[in-house]
Amino acid sequence: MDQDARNRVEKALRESKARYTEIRLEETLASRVLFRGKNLDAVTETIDRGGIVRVLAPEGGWGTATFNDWDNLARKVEEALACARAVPADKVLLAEVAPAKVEQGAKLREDFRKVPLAKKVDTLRAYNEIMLAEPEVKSTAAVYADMLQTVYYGNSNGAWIVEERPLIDLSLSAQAVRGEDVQSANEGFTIANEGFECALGQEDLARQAASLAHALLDAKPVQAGVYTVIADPRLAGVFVHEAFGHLSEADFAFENEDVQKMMRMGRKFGPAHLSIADSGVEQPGGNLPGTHRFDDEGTPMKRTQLVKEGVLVGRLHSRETAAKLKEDPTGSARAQDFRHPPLVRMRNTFIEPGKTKLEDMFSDVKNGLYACKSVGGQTCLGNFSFSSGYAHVIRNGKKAELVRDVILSGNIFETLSNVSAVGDDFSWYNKGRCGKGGQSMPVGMGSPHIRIENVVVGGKSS
Amino acid sequence: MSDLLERLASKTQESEVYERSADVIEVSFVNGLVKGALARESSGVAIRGIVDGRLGFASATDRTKGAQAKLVENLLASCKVGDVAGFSFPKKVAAPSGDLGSYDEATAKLGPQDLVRMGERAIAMIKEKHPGIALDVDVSRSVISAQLENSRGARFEDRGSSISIGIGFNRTRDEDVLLDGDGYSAVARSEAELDRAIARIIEKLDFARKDVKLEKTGMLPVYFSPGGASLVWGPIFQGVNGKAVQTGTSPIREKLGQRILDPRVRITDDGLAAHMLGSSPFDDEGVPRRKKALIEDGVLRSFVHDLKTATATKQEPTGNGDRPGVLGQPGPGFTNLFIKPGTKSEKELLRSIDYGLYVESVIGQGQGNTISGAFSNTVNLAYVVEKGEVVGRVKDISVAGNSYEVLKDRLGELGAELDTSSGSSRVPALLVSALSVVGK
Repeated sequence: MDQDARNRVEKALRESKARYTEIRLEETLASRVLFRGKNLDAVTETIDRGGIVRVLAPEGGWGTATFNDWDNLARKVEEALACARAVPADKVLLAEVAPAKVEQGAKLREDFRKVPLAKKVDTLRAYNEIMLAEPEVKSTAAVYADMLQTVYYGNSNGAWIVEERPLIDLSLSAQAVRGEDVQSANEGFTIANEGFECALGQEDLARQAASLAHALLDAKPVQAGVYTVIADPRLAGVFVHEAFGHLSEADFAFENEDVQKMMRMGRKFGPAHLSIADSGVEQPGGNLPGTHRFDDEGTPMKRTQLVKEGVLVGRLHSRETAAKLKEDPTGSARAQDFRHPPLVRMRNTFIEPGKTKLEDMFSDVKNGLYACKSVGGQTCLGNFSFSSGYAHVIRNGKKAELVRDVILSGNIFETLSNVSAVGDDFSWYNKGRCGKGGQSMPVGMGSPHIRIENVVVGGKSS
Repeated sequence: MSDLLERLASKTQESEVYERSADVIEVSFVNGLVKGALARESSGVAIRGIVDGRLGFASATDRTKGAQAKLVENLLASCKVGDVAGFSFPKKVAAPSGDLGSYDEATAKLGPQDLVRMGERAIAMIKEKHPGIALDVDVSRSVISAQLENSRGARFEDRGSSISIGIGFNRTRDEDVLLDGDGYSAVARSEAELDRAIARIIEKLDFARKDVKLEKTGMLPVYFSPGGASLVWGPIFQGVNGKAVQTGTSPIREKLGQRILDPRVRITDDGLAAHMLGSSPFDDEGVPRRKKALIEDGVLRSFVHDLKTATATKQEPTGNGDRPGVLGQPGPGFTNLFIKPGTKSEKELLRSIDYGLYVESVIGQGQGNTISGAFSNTVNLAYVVEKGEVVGRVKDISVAGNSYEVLKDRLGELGAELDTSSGSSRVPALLVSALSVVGK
């Protein structure tokens, strides 16, 4: 580990005149390969380096300075304090966290930093060619990206944490084109703490993406209406992230009493078979993208129960929101990189498995949808919307034809109370990023199959 | 010639060095209270080279000596496996004449206190009309400097200022959360622009005071505010992007010269418009920016291209090479977008509606299969219009259609006013004569 970073941070912390000071220095090595159709659109390596200082003014709020050149650290501490003093903020308090001293390197089987670019290109090219071999697949977007972010964190409470955070993205999109009709399908994953080996042997993902895009050309748009929806784990994971997870981020509530009233602990949020948690310690040493030992304020990550048997029992905190609401910090203050201060973010959010067998979920559905995968979602907190990658009509308990353009929407409270069954299966679906406040974070999402009654599905009206 | 370019010259057939630095100040308010200020200083370098006809790219924010050597090494590795370039970097040409007014000294000098005052003014004025509303405000000002130099002699430096304020409002009544916002961005600070943003928020909250039910669904006239209309224009913007043309996914990739939209539609991309955020003499690859009609009288006239997509589609570069940041590669992007206004005022358009919908914003815009033109979205903030008057907010409904079809066959009117809240576009309101509206 870089003793130079530690010396710089400790010296700057000693010299700081602020009430509280925290410093994060980062070095990131990243590579990225992108094919679009037959063309290799990008093949790059980047070297990113910089830092962020956050301070609290004696009687006030946050001052922050971000920079690239570590040599400027001492000046940036002063600049951050000048920023803090320049604004008439109320005194910000932070919840206590025992200062940790931990240095933790990544253990990768095949260190992707040592894999030649040519090998990354060839691996991705093979997947890309599988997709292009599918009839009517005219274009693709195939991405392989890896990065190793080394975070050096110290604060004036005495914490010193070094963490290496490796991350690999594989994203395989196929676009099938017939005249003016374009249909897309996407497979892939975002995976933490693994080496280049995880990107090998993924030919099936390429085949699945291509054949789904092709099949969607012949699928009809879903008939708009209100349906009983069985969501597969990949869609249900996005559902719980979008529909519920964002509401549990305390930065949305901590200065707003109306929201606190709506999100009061003990309030019934769904049926007794619904339990939801968010965890940064799930699968320790495993590969979930939201798992780290510490968040970006030096707080150890925890498993946070959000809903227990239908009742609201917890929420996600930074040190500031925890102090304000007099609850415990959860290790949820995460930052995309040194350009940003941390925000309250989800880590790996999931619905806990229930007791219903999948076939029993289907059996009494007369006219419904089996909605699978997700191609995005958004919440405006009261309401949410997400798109499933594809869906099958359910007719008299049986899975029937493929349909497309399935966009599900609703009110969070109503929809959660309409979760009529939770499956006894479970899987993680970790792909892409969650955006908030201009920062894009890797998050994990997991769920069993779930069934929801009375879901509004947009599309063609009859 | 810079040292770096000189080093590259001996190792490549052609090379380019692009540098960008930014100086940003931001202040943020949570529920009306200022929380802090942030100063951001950043700089980096991106290099491209052509070796044996193959194009490579590498970038770094680390300017230490070791990193610079690694940067060159990375570029050569990238060139080795890269695609055949098929193009040369642009030669030196004279800059388009005239001052574009992209830099405002007074704005560049704004400090945290100035930004706090802007936020406080907005909060005070909105709270005077709507005391219970929770307001989250972010104000920032930036100065961005860029310079490019290539081995064929092209060289330019550019500097721009910008100011931006985003005001988000949150009205929580029991379980009903209304979240929306407004604001403006521009080259220079403008009190008038801030006043307009404040007035729009007050109007939104006035209109949303009462919840109403939609009495009719099916095909209804739908009025989109200029901001809301981006739902309908979005797929068209995607379709004219050279990248979608190059990859064969744009549904209008082969329609140059054909009428694709209503004859009243004219969309122009103008990288030389004065006092606009998207203006500069050259694009991020050193190609001169220009003004061009993308769609004129409903006829598709041009796509937006960078060097790569222009080469791949055998068309001319359009000066739209755009870098997402210093670390990213150039891709085709808009400069400043202008949509020609109509003849009737926004008020007149609303008055013409007997029963319909007024959409300010939707949830999940850009989700789904938008490249095909299809959209289907739940409204976030929308009102019912009855006999030309807004009667209240409506929730839990969605609007759906296909942009190409809507803008060709069901374009009611375009508003006469242009929205000036974005520093890189001028867009009117849009009345769609009939759009699929689905409710519960």
